[in-house]
Amino acid sequence: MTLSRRERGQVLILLGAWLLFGGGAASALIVYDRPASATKKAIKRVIADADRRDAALSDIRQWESGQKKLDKRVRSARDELFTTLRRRDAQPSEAEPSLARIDAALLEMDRGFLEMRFRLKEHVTSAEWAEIGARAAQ
Amino acid sequence: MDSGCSRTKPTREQSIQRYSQKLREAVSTKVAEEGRRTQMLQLVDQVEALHLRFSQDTADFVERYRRLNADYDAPRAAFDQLFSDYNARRVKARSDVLALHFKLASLATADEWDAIGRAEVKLYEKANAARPAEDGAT
Repeated sequence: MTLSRRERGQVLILLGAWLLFGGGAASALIVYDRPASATKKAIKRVIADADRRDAALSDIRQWESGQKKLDKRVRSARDELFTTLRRRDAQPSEAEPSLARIDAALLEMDRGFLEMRFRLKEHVTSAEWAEIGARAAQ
Repeated sequence: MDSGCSRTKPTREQSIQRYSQKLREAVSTKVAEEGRRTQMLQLVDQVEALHLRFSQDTADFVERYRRLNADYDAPRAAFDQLFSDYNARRVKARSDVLALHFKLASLATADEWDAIGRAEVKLYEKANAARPAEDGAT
């Protein structure tokens, strides 16, 4: 679908808004770069060795499960933040506990993402890595 | 865009466009006093500009990650630094947006804030709902 310049601007504004209040580095990569489903699909096509392929897919599934739990924590804190912001007399200090909870969960998400990336690499050759990257980006 | 879409529910882009305009409309229609209305609309413009700038920061971050990730032997420290730099930008941008939010709230009367605050939070909620989790946008 082709967006007009104005629509594209609006999408960017809202993505920026989402990332400011609900996403960290790992979330940005999943949204802007590629979803985990694309990487899993690429792994299934590229890694012929069943043991290494299953190990790689298992790493991703394990990571996804952890991310879901963290995502719930982020959503809960974000809802709390929005409830605070909705009040006209709310003070900046009242937003801080929600922001701290969001940041702590996002930090864990980032750490989990990078740990998964490096665990994944242990099951993949450099040639396969390049091919998975190219296929997942398609 | 497929012309057949007109008879189905609005596309995500149409919804985004509608909700991102609501905040400005709420200010324009609810604030009768010209001086405050102008100030508040300027704040809304600044909020949008910040979101747009942060979206660009995010696109730059994703591009840097792609380059780094393509290097099979890239060290963990390089990723940690990249994520840390991005998160510092995110926290700074969020802090700037929240400062503008509190200025906006302080300029509104209780009656005005009911509609404006609702529109502002709606904007962020819609931004979250608009997350293209399965699209792998860009």
